[in-house]
Amino acid sequence: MRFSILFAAALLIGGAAPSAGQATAELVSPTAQIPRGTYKTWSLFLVCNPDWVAPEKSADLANLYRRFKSFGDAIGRENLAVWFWKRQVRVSDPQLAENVDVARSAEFCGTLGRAPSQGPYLVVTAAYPDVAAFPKERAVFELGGLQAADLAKLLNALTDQLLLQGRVDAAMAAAPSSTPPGNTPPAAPPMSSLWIRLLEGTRQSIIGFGCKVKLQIDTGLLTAELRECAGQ
Amino acid sequence: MSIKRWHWGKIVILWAWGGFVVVLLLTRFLSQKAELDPVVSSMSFLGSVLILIALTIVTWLWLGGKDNAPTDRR
Repeated sequence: MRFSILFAAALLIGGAAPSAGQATAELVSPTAQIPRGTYKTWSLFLVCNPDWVAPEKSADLANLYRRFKSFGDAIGRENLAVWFWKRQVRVSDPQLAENVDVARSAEFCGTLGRAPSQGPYLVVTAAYPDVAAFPKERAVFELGGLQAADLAKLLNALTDQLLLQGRVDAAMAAAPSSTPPGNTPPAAPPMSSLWIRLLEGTRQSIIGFGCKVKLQIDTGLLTAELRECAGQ
Repeated sequence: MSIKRWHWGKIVILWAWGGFVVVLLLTRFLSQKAELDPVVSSMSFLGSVLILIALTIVTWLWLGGKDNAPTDRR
């Protein structure tokens, strides 16, 4: 009797927790939690653009979803790809677009300060993506308007980085190739880009200077040496 | 007669605390790309520069300078 209770409890716990090592998570309820697990990164596919849930966009959406599936499989079990559904349907379902949980994606887009019209977005973060306290360090990629080949190229590059390095280069998010041709450029950030470039230049200069200086401290008991930075 | 006199103890204490805060701010500034959080990066960088300027002014004005040597009364 005791064993059966323990077995049932173990089954319950195992069923409630996300399966360990899964590479994709398709959440099919507005309240379903994104698995926490021990993942290195979470990649959220956010379809918050109303255009993308129109019936005529079903083919594009199906293509994006297939890309999501293959991306989720390719990034390995230590990285999780997340998609939000209202309910689970087949990819070939003509009503596929209607089942995308736009409202939930919109919450994330609002938190990220991203215009739904520029979406869908792919957001990669190394910390748990809690919509109430979204990690500041994240890479946001605009997928809206990307041609199929460009989308494949972007996801392939991200797959390489996530699988081999366990992170993505944030600079890729601002790469010109990720801006679809013909689209209007994104709105200017609240802070002057010149000032940001100056700040970043200063930062790089200080880091570069620090890497060129070789400092050796010898106190007799202890000897410490700061060498040139690797990979610079 | 005017002589130069520095308050070395006060200078060390002031710059030790100031240096500690500046190191924290610069570490924050250097550890993250500026475009990720421009406001925090700006505040970190400007804060560290302002603290160094303030320390220099305080040191120059109040912790060092010319003192009159005591008059030699005989």
